[in-house]
Amino acid sequence: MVMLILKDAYYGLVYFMLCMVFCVSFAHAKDIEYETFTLKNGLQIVLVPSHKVPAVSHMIWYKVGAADEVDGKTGLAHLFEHMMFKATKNMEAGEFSNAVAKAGGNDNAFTNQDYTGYYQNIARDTLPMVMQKEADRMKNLLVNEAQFQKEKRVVLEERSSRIDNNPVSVLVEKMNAALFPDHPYGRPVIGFRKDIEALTVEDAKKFYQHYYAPNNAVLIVVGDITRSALEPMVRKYYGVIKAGNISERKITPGAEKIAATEIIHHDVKVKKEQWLRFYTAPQYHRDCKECYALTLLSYLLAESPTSLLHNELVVEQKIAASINAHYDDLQIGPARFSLSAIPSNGITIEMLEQKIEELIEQAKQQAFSEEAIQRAKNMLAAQVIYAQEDFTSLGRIFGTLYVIGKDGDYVKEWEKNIRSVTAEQIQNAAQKILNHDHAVTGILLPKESEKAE
Amino acid sequence: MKHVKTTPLFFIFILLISAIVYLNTQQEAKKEMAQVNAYVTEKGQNFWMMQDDYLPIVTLKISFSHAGSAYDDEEKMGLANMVASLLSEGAGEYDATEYYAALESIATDISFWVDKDYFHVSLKTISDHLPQAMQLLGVALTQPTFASKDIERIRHQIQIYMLRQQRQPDYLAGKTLREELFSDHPYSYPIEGKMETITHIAQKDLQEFVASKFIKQAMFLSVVGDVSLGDTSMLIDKHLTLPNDAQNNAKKIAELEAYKINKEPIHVFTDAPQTVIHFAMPAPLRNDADFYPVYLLNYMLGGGGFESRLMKNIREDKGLVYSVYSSYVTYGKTGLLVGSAATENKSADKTIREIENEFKKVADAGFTQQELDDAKSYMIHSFPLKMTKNEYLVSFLDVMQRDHLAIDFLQKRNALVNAVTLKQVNKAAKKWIRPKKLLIVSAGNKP
Repeated sequence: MVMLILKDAYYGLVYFMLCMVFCVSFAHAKDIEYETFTLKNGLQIVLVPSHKVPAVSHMIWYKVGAADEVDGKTGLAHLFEHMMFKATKNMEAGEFSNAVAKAGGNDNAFTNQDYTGYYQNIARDTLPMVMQKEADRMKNLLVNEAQFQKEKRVVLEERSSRIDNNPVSVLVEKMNAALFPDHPYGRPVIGFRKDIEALTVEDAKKFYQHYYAPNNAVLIVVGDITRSALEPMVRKYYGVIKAGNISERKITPGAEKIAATEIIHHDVKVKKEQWLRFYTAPQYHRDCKECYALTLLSYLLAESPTSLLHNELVVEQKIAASINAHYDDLQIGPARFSLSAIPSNGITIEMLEQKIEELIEQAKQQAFSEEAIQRAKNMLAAQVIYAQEDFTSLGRIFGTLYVIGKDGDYVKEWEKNIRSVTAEQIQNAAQKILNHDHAVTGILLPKESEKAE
Repeated sequence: MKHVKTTPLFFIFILLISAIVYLNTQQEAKKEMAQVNAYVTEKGQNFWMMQDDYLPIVTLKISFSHAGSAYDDEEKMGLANMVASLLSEGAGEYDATEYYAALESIATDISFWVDKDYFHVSLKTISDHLPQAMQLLGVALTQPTFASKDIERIRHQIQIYMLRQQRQPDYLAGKTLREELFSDHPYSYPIEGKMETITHIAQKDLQEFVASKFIKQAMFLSVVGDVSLGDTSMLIDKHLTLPNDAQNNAKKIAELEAYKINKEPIHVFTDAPQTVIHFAMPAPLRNDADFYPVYLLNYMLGGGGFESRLMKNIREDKGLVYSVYSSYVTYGKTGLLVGSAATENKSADKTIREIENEFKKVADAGFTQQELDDAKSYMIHSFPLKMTKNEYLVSFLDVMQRDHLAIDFLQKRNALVNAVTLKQVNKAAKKWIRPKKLLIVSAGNKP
């Protein structure tokens, strides 16, 4: 199987020899199957069948997120997501969640830069009820002033928990602003406090009318159901909703310039300093030549316990207590390749940074070993098998793909694409991405409290 | 990849008992899902197993009793956690990097962690690689290296982990609650130990821990996934044969019956924009007759998300918090109703009063039939939905063994929930929900 993916005969031979030693075969791995169809009103449906238990995950994704907000109105997409659990013309506030709970299901929602999603994990025979209610709130939501003002307070508490009480999150918020100064990705999804406080019920109503329509949504159903059972249900509940007047999204694909190269954040809640580095990187949404190479680079550089930075800095030289990397390419706008490290006691941030820079230079000058690359490929390829155990995570991957204008082939071809990356491509990706001209460094430092303890 | 030959079943197994689990939902026709079987290997190791070939994945779970953080010696608090942190940092012929490299080559995850009572092990692999995965697990449990350079490195990492938490309101509230609740009982020990106690841990302590705790008598072993019985049994005997300690010298820890809570809410100052509130109250043990009534009570009080009283009142009606919840946990020596909330500093006192008030309402008036019906409906219908992942299934098998539940528990569980009456719930509420026994700790910068 692995031989087929290699066009180059020489690489094929080398690969085959390595394969005898390191390769993992997933002989009985089930291929992921999926089907899609679109209603006349523009609603796109993606079915990912999985028949282990008589259950489904039902998710509706709207192609609107924080990136669609304007300056001064940050946090609107997320606050609106909270409002979707309130009353409609046909339901009381909380009625939908209550019905899902009584049926033994779980429901929730999420907002990102590129999308807003709502899901219910339920028994298959509950699906018509859930669909009827989800379709109802796509069209019939009542946004009322009192509920809106109360929900703003809830969201401000959410912001405190996620960001303000958490020094690393405060630093990350500042770093994003510097990394994407002219791009909506530079603003926090949850919104700035003063913006959230100033949002009005009129903002919410306009937002709903503008973005919540079948032709701006994707329905993902993962689980124990067939196309022939699903399709009539979808037509009955969602098919009757009229298409909206949706204008094309204006999320620019790339960031133009970097505002600052180093951000230092002092915080009284910090007892141990931390170092972060964000690089802008290409995203899968565009014709991405480096995405798979970057996924491997992230793993080989610092994600894995056998990675270059972990092995050198944590295990061998003991300069760092921990180190990590992350790269996520599934978004419309520019992606971020990030590194994070905590220095060992007695090591300054400057010493840590210098060592990290040396090793990044090494990754640019010298290819990773074939052995290390094979291991990383084995680990990454298996993630598709493990993901199939979990309806919600499978649904999250499919939903993200369709919202950013891609499709399920990404999942089907994941193993092939990961396995076909060469050492040279990984090295080239490192040379192209790990550069200071599109990077921001963040440093988290302690601060003495002025208040008595 | 070599496949293990399947040994004929009659040769090595004694089939003890088995139960078929039917996972049916509402109008769904009965669908046979899985069979829980209890076996003994040729070398005498017990294990519970559920075969499932839907995906080529195998998940294994081990719990060692008498090996959690509460069984650490006071002056070496954090020992169990340090063993857990070091087992994959070098074992048998592998150094730390080689060990992780071997796991990566076969896309396998092996994790070790501890709670108050148990030392936990989990393994997840692709079916074809189970033999190598079991070999790697076996060397970690039986031949860990504990090289001094690795001990020092991990000790340093744990100390930095401790340092990083010190000003976090969530950590401070949780720590104070634990210390007030359990005072000098070993349940008050932080799992990771303390700065000074982990400096006392030497290589010899780690080796003694492994020799005395990883024994056959203390091991609960569960397997779920796409693997034959014969292969499983053979691999257990080949790689997980642990010392037999027939005398069973397991350390005992004190009972907790005597612990008294009768305190006003405690506040810990830390300079943070939001106050974090933790609370706890004694609750029945897992084998108590009140287990199911309190299990349902917790759902109605604070376990059931938006359907719970805490959430409805404190978030939905008052807008004071983003998150407020309770959960019912059972340890070996006590059960607890615990929970948490977070709110801006100036509304901390108000939120604390609301939490107290909800407990008082439960104690005074209990719940309504409608609330109980809804809670039972969720508990019963959600149960089959928890069977999607092997990891959840293997956790069920693990808990069933540890808590001495019947092998057909999964089949009977919904009937146990369904049998609970409102009278039982409200009687349990009177007995267990005592406002004076509610301990509340907040941490933040409240006025």
